[in-house]
Amino acid sequence: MKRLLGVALGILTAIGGFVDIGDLVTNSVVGARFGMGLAWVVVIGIIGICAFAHMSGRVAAVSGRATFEIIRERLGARAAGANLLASFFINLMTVTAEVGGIALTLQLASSITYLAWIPVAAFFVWLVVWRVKFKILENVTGLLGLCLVAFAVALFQLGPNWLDLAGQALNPTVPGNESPWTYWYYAVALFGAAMTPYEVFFFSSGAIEEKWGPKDVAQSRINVLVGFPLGGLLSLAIAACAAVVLMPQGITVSSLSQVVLPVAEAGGKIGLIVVLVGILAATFGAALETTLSSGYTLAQYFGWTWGKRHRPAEAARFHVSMIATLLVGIAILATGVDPVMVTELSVVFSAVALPLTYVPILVVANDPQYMGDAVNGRFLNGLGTIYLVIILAAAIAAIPLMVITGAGA
Amino acid sequence: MNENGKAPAGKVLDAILHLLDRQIKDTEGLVVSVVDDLEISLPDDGRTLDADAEAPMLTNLLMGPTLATRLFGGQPPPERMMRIPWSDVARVGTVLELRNRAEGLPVRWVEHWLRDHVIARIPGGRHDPE
Amino acid sequence: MSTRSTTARGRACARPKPVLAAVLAVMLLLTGCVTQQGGTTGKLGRAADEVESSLTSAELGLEQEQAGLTLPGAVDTLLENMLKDVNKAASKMGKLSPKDVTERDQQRRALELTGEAEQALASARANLQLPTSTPGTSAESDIQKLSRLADTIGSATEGWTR
Repeated sequence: MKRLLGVALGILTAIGGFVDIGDLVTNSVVGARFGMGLAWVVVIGIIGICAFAHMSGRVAAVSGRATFEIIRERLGARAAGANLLASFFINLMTVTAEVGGIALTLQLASSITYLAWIPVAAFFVWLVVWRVKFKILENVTGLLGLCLVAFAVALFQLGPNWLDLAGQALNPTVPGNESPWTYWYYAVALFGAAMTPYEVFFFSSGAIEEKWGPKDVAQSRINVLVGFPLGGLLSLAIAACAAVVLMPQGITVSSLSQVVLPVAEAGGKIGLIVVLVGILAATFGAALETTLSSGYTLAQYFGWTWGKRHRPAEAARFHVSMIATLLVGIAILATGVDPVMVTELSVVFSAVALPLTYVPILVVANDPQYMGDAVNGRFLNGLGTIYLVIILAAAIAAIPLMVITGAGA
Repeated sequence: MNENGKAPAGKVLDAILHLLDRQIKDTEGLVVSVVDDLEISLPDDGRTLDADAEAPMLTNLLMGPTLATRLFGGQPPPERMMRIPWSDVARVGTVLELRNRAEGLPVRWVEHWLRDHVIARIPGGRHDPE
Repeated sequence: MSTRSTTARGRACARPKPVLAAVLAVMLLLTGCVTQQGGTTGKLGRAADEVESSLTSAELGLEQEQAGLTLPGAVDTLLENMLKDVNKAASKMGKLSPKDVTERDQQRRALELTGEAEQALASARANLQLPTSTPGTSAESDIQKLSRLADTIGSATEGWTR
């Protein structure tokens, strides 16, 4: 019974933890402009993140080495240094977006401007990273994140034409007033939102933090294979809500206040409160993960002692770098830049940075020197190679598409 | 390449592939640093060695400022170089393991400085996470 | 023991330069060939669409507020955000340089309507803060005003983005 509870907890946490501010905003924007026409990208993204999150966890568990340690060893200091610069910059963007997301959600709940909430949000993110145990942090934010199911509930309450929605998803067409370039730009953005690079850093470092053995790897496979797709369904629900309520009225999404309109419409005050709790938990959880990732990447490259399992006094540089990251994030948001725009840019840049993280993982997962007998099987390698092509295509196409479409204007 | 006569198994190692950029851990598994560069006992006036002169030996592992100089050129002043003698290395695997504990090593000074001046000032820094 | 590592590093090093050059070339080619459709009229039309979207969103939010479906923070934030969006659209419209009389008229009309939108949103937001029993203010009339404006803008800018 206890084992069953443990498995359930793992799955539920994975579902609730899947969505972050990037998924929320991008799916809503896409749903309002293209209906369900980009749903296939979400599906591809889910399969990809399942494969790579699990692979990175397995590599860490078997080899005892975390991603960035491996990146430096395999690529050498110079290439890995360039990789670090890019990955850290994009991670910083994501941290900023998530903290901004927390602040925006609190504004929706309170009427107090998000600018006032930014330092509060960053402080609490730091506090949890400073003091709270890894497992508790994951479980609480993951479980509360399940409140996002309010999007799915709202969708049912709205009584949409399901066949119509399915038709849009299965037979994607570019709406008359949109150009194909914009369609593909958002495909890349949605892909970057689903396959966030920080997930790999976080998963592999977490595996080492929690000292995963083979049983944990098996548990993680279940969490990932069951939890992530269900989490992906939440993403699709967000898009569908926008497609059903916002698209017919010609509303294009540019703020979080519009993202939640469908839930209020269908579920009233209760629905709205539940979904705000869910968004708060999901963005808070993601803020924790990305902040930790920035610490992990720096520490693993430079060889600092790292990990939440150590008390801060034992991992001073690790913790100082995370404090610095959060302070920079606050500074960026304090300039008054629109957090939603930061989010939209961060997902596109995530798509550009994907190869930097995924290629090393795929290579090491096949290296017997690190993995011993547990190298990738043929299926996983086949899948990994297909995704390598997709990831490289998305990464190369991202910036040109952004330039051509004026970032989706 | 260098023949490592001091490692227990007398393995042949490629210094760049197996030593450079590798993590260094102490006897308790704590990460000490990463190998940023290697110091070899070569005469540094650029003379070619006689055929039967003593082979150059790996003397120290270097870390810290040597990373920047390795990437961009130049050499840090000898006082700033952080060294771990090769003789302190007990095992070479995917990670280098030392014979001694991390605490006594000079490479830890940045860590200790930050610990004493920043972390200690923030409440809760010395406690385990709860 | 040594050969596998070299391939990974070798691969990583061999890729950058020619690939980078190719990507840059493609980017420049594409940006040169593909320009945003429509010129000034198209840009005005797109900005007007944004204004319309903001007005409709505000309308929806106020309707939800009337029906007790939403929280005060949510609808207030919505109106604040929509006002900001309309301001941005107005400045985008103002920055365009019309090439002939038609475009100048279009710009003028678009700016005029956008100005009305800004006023309507600002007053709707102010009315939200007031207690509901204050005479002369009515969320209904705000909703109707926003709805009417959205329709006006829609029909005035019909076909501009083609």
